[in-house]
Amino acid sequence: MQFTINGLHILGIATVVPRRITHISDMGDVFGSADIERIINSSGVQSIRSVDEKICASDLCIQASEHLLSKICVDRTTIDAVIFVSQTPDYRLPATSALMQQRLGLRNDVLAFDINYGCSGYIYGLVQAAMLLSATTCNKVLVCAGDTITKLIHPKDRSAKVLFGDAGSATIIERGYENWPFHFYTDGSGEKHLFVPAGGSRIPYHSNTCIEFTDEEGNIRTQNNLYMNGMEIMNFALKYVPLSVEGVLVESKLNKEDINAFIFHQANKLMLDFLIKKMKLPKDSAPIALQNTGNTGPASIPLAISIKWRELSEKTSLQKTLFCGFGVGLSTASTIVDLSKTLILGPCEYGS
Amino acid sequence: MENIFLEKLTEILDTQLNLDMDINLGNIEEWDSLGMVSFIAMADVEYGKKVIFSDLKNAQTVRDLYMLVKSEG
Repeated sequence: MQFTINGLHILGIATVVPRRITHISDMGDVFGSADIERIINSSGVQSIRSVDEKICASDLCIQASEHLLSKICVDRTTIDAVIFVSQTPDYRLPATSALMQQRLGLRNDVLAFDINYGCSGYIYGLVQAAMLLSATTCNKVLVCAGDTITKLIHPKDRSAKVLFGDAGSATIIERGYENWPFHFYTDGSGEKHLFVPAGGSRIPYHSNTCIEFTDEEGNIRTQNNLYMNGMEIMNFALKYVPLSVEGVLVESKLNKEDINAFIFHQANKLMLDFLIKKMKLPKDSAPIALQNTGNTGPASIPLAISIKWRELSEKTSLQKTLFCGFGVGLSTASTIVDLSKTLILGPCEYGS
Repeated sequence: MENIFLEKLTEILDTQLNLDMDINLGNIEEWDSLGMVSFIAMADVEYGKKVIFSDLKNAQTVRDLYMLVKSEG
């Protein structure tokens, strides 16, 4: 569906990546050096950032939030809601956002809730913030989007190991003068194309879910690990991402030529190249920013903005910036925002 | 048309082989899951054809792949 929510503005965006760098070319020992070169050319991912076992997505997001709050000079007691968008919460319960209220020193009367979403998740965070700002007395909402998905990847699963990285982000949205169009699409029949089978209520953790198996491609994983069916995701993205972009443009009564920048979920270079070609978008308006981070799920859109804003703002105002997330669900979600008056901070390293 | 197809296929598979229509896909080292995903994207974007996994599993040669994307008639 598509709709518009009025009276909004993004005050600022900050992102944090873990310190540990893994170069994909070093994985040649495990996966074969000829293959690795071809994989890097295709995925566009040269290196990923990943957390140590003890670090959670919330830790990355807390640092991003503190960084943003300090630079933007916002009194934290004026934050009315905190939304944590992630597939890697601290615990099964309680919601990680509740812990973040306390850790960030936010008021006790804030709204705090989690959204379990990945690649489209950032837009889900933004739409929730937009609804709170337009329909309640909330004046400022903090959206934290991040994943530590590398913890869910089996070290011998080539299909995922060479693509995904960890990152956290913080975005503060307030009341303003922008009207944001949104477009959403969901097809739950694709649930098993990108999922972690065990660990929920359907298949609880059990000694059986830890048993390793090898798939047709020679990737090893267990039911506790992330699985991705690249072919199904590619077909879904090629069909529904252009429809989502078109849908949000129709809702906003804009043409693609009016858009200053298209910030897509940074899935992989192969997919983005074909999507850009299919939609006939100018390459320099649709940046690819995953070379040193990989696919960071719900953090990938703010992270791409954080990495590329300086380069983009030299050529354009970012007044009409289209965000499009797609993937797990399967789902797509798009919106158009004005970043011309937004404080955008470059990515920081965790612990810096 | 066939030559253009072979050029595009060589490029997306990132292979050093000199591809022709009769090469068995089993002899192309790059015809793995990454090669298949790339082909699916090429079929959609370059030829406007939706190709699914079972189509690829049934394909034996490069010509079979060509038949999946070439226009009818």
